[in-house]
Amino acid sequence: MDKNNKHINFFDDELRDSELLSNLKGSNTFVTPDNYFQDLEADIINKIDTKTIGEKGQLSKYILYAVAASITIIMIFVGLQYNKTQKQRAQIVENIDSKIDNVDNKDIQLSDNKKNDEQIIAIDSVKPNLIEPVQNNTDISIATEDNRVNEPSYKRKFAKDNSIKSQIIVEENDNQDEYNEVIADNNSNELMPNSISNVESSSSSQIVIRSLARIFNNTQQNIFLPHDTCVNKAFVYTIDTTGLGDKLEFVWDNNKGVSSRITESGSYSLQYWFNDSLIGVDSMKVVVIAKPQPIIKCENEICNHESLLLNAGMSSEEYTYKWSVSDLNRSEIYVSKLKPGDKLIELEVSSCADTIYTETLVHINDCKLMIPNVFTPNGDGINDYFYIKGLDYYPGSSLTILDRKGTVVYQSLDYKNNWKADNIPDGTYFYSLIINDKSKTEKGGIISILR
Amino acid sequence: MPQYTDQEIIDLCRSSQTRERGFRVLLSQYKERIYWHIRRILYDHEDANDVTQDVFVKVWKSLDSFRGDSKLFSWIYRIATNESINYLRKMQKKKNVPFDQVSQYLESKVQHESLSGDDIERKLHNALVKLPEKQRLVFNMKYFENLKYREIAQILDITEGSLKASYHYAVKKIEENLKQD
Repeated sequence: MDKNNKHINFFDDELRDSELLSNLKGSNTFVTPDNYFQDLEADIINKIDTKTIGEKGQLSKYILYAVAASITIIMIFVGLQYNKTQKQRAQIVENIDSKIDNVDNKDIQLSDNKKNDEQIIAIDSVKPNLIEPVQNNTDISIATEDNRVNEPSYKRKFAKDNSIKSQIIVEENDNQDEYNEVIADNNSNELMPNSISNVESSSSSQIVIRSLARIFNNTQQNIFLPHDTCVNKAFVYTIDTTGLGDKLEFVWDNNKGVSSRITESGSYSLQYWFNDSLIGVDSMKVVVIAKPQPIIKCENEICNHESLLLNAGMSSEEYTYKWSVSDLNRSEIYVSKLKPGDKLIELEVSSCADTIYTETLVHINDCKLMIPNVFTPNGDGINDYFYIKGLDYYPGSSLTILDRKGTVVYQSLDYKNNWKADNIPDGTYFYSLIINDKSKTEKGGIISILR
Repeated sequence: MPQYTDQEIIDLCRSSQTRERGFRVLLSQYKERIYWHIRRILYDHEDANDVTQDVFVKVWKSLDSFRGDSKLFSWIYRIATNESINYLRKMQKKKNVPFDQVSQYLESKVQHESLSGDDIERKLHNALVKLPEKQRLVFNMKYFENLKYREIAQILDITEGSLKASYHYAVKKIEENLKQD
């Protein structure tokens, strides 16, 4: 019976592992480098991009024939089309302007409503058919118009090929410090220096990011998230679907909805569905990093031959440390060979979102000892004491004076520059000074007493 | 992110307009599983990284020729398995690898793995690399990756019967090996 059972188990799809092995199960402790899978994806995508180009290369022979034939035809057309294009361009620019004005009002209202929910609100507006395809190969840059002085400024630009069908405008709002212009095209991410960075967030300031894009044939991907985003606190990224009806739906990672609250570093993906079919995916990498708060910790006063230990008061390796006195990018450094006087120590700590400057003043004393070889304790007020210049910086230094026979004639364990050779005849003596520095340096020599 | 079905991914890849997007979805859903599958065959992270990249580049290039006769899942796994085995063979042929046998090469890799310090786990892997290739593949997929016999059969293109036998033998040999010391 046992045998039979075994036989059955053996061919059972859920064949049991032996006891020994089932104890081990689930223990997979191989390690991969941090963020490996993100990097892997990027590496592969890079590879296939070049591979695709490689494949096109094989076709180049045939393309060459086609091109040669086409050029002749194009030459004829170009001449005819040139005038027309110029007119179209002007019209498009005008068109965009008026449409952007319309968009403004809606979005500002919307962001006001949400003000209380989160400190930073990023809004992507998707506007179908807002921008017509640009038909020329030039950059267009439009400066802020005079009558809009109090309005946020706009920049827009079209990249150098015809594929551009969308753009993102970043608007400066309230007393927001910085913003980045964002440009996107339909096919590649390369034109997109997209990032939100240095988000200074107080309740009175907010960033509004709009994506002005249109959806082509309900199939093309048109929303671009800022791919490398660096912020110093959590924020909410919202896609504004005003005017799109309820046919467009968004899924952030696992959650349906237009908003994603981003509280920690990571990759966030967005899917958008139109009429229940998936029309696009995009993702963004966000680094949420606390604002660095450096305070230089060090001694206020040191001797010029000592090295100074400087500490940024924080030690995260995620930041970059830039010291005025060193090239080392570390939170703790030693500097030495400082010149006597006041030294300003400056430090800049940067994360990808913030750069914080701090400074401190350190007084560098000239602590070099000057030991005389003669003094005149005759009471004339000049050179009456065995005065070692700089000894004040080393309290606790001991001094011993010996005569020629080696007898101790004076000793102090904490010499205060106050020996005036009372009751000791003129002549030559030996001194031994143990300096109370880190290494207890001993100095010896000859001192002559002349009255 | 909701998981896409293989069929949805294939549909995305079919049209040249959405192919790249389809591939990205495929990549995000398969990259980790495929990496671990390869890592368990090759042990070395750098080796596995190279092969994983090659596999997906190959998948990308062959999307055209994928006709859907087999499932996307088993197709990708098959490419990954074949690439890994080929990699091992190349390693074997290379003269600068001073190992006569693949198992010795792999054993040296196991030694370098920072396994959780658990001796028994290291023993398991040492026993594993001594198995014949097919048994090791079957064992990995069944034991570590929890694949169904039906799926493994599709990937390796062998019958379920011989598969079960392979797994049975593999388990037996590993047990013996573990009990030895």
